[in-house]
Amino acid sequence: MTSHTIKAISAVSARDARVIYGSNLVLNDVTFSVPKGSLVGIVGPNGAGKSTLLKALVGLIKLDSGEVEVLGKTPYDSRRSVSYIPQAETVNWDFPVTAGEVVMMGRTARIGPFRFPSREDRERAREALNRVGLEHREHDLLRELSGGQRQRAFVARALAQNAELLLLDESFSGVDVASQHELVDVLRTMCSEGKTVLMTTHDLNNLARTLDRVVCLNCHVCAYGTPEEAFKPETLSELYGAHQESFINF
Amino acid sequence: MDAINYLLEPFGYSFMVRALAISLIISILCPSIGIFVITRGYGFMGDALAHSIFPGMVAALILGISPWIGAWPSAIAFALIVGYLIRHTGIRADTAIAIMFATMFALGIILISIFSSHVAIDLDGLLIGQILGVSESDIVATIIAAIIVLTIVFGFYKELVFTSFDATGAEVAGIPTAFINYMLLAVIATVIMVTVKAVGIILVLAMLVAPSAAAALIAQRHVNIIFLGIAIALVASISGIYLAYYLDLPAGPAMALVSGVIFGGTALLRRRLS
Repeated sequence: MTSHTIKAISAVSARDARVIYGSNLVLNDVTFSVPKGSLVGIVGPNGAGKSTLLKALVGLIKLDSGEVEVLGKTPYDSRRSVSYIPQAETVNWDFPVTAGEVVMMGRTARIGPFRFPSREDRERAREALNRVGLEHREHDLLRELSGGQRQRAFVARALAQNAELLLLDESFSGVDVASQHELVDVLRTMCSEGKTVLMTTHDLNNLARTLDRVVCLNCHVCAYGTPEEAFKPETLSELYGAHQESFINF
Repeated sequence: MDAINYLLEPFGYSFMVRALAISLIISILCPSIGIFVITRGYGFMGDALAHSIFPGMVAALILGISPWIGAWPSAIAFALIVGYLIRHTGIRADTAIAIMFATMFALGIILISIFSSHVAIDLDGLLIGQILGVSESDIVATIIAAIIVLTIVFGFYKELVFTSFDATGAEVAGIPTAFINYMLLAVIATVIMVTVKAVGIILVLAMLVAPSAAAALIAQRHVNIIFLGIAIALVASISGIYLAYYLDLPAGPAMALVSGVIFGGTALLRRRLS
């Protein structure tokens, strides 16, 4: 397969991506390619560079060398087709928005300043809320919803945006197991429609089996492939050292 | 009839009518942006911005022009420099604000000490406001500023909400968050200009923050917080004017005091109800 063909069917491709913070090498020669329509996890211990990699994919962090391509474009140029769900602690929960308003945020860039949402915008937002099962919570403040419902509202925002690529940064943290599976079901449906989902997580025990592919990251890519291929004892040892046994059991 | 006369009597004087007009405008403007000030933690920034206009006002007085003309470039320069420092140097926001706050206020004091023998400077007026001394041209300038501010806030409201709630998600979705943040700072600076005229540099936060903070204790939605904040600010500013007239109190501090009392009362009531 030529590199051109790989790019054409890849939602995300990174080649020799390197990020340095001060004197710390955070990402070192990261190379991988995510096929369109797949559900991919980026796993690794705290400080492995998972969030940095996601931010590099959307251009929030510049690479020191190497390149990344998102939906066949540069990270900056692909932004409107990408939805990013940040870690919960970076969201300003003091700002009082409802679940419905969060979903409508997915239409904001498309609507533009000095304009109100059109009927189509409202229909898309309502449809997105329905798809994640939150239609009955539309007028409730997001901060009053459970962790799982909050994440589903963010996913609905991506649906309303009609994003081709959804990036989730530790979205499953603090979410109970039942809600995690509900969320994965929604993400799975998106993938079956051709959307691509890339998420960071350190919760392997509950999520690993549900992923199509896994990027095992610890500054560099330790392994990449299906969960069965990637989670070899030597890889887990490289990721988690002596604690590997607590993590996964295929 | 006595009660109506009591209410109307102050407005037999044109300077009181002008004071009322300015009060109404700032009561609409402050809560319109107050929600963004309180939820983004810009309270200290607002206070610092108010103090940062001091050297501009003093310089304008030295040059023999209206202090409000000098205040504009001073505040906007402060907002843009602080925004730049935060974004490009990596220092904490409160550190950047504190440095600029102290530096610019010190510059104003130094200018006064150098030029006070040549120019009469009403320091009290600058620090605690002179709402009873506003001119018709002040009102015209205030109305123009209000139209500009409300047009921007209304036009970019969706973007302001998105950026205030989830700045990273907004940037990735294609919202120009840096532009929105700089614009918000410029709008806050403009509202402070207008408000300083009424309550002075030191008390500007009372109108910028307290009505919105009190409203946020009662209302849940951001739009409701804005409208309730406007109602509270109107009560505070109009009460302040009556207190100034009938009890011979300084108007700016009277408005600020009522605003603070309303916030305190709301906080106590909410605590009791919950």
